[in-house]
Amino acid sequence: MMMDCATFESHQDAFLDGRLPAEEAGLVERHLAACPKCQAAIDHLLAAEAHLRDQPEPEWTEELTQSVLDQTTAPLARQTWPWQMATAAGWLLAIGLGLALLRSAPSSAPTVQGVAYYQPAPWMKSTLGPHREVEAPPPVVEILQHLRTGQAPSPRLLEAIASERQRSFGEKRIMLLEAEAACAHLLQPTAKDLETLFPELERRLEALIQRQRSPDA
Amino acid sequence: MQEQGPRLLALARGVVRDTHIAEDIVQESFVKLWRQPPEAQAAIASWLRTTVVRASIDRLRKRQAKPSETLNPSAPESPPVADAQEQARRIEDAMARLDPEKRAVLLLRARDQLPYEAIAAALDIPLGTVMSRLARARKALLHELAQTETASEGSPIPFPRRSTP
Repeated sequence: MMMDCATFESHQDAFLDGRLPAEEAGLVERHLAACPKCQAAIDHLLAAEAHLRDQPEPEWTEELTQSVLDQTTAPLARQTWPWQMATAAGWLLAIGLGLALLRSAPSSAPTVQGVAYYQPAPWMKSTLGPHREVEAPPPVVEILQHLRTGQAPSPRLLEAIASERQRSFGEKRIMLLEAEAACAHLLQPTAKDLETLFPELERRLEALIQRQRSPDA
Repeated sequence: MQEQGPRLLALARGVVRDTHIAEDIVQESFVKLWRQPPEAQAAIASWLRTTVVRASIDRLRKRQAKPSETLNPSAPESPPVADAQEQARRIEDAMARLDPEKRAVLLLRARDQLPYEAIAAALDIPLGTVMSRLARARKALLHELAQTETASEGSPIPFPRRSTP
């Protein structure tokens, strides 16, 4: 039995998408062999779809990645002098508090509660919404083990985390930022170092503030 | 971003027919992903595809503008054969005259080689609608190709012979 053009038209999409049973596909093939008009139509569609399929993908440039990162990590991207000074002041306060605690605490200091470092900070939560489980990249898994043992991370691990963080976004980036905070905690100076470091940091902050007030000095 | 970016850029550019607008749309989609990611991590690729297609169609609707850019009709790896270039130009012209919904369904099927289920998810339409929309899109494309053939002083498009689909 020969298929007519109207029937072919109703079967055209199923034929193109390979959804026709073998018997009906055979009927379509026979119709196409005998009907130049329908053959031309199917040739046009196949050529058009091949053209769409074979177009090269546009390049996703580094600038585009950076632009997205700038929009998603704006508080980090806009690091200016006041921000840095605020950070330095925060560190001084933290160290000062640490010193005060060390002086008053008994000799057996409490062990590090590493898990606390993996709670997103409030501003991160407000940007991201509720915290979700994400798969930890290898450097984060490694730093988690360090947190359990209290062993200081190696320079290689610090570099791996920083490098991974530069390529990441979303919650993965936050996780890596927090891993860096955990590294800072593990590398924190001993009580003796703190006592010598604190006046030094204070002196450097003073110098920074002076330079900010009078840049020509 | 490096993995999904080029694919999404190709999809957005295919629908909106403008490289800069396509870049904006894909960037906005990544920012949206950062702010409101889907519940399931595995669904990110599909979520991004849906977001990009919707944003592309919405952008064209809002602007109510005719697509202006004729995309580069020849792939770099294709030989610069005049006939092949002419054929590519006619296909691009015909695509540019379709409405964005039809362009989107054709791109998802022909370019991204997606099954109907994935197209339904990307366009947020039922499976049956995918089939009917694809059929209408192909019919419209054939119509537009016929128009370009008529407009080019009757010279037939040197389409290749059909291969097995």
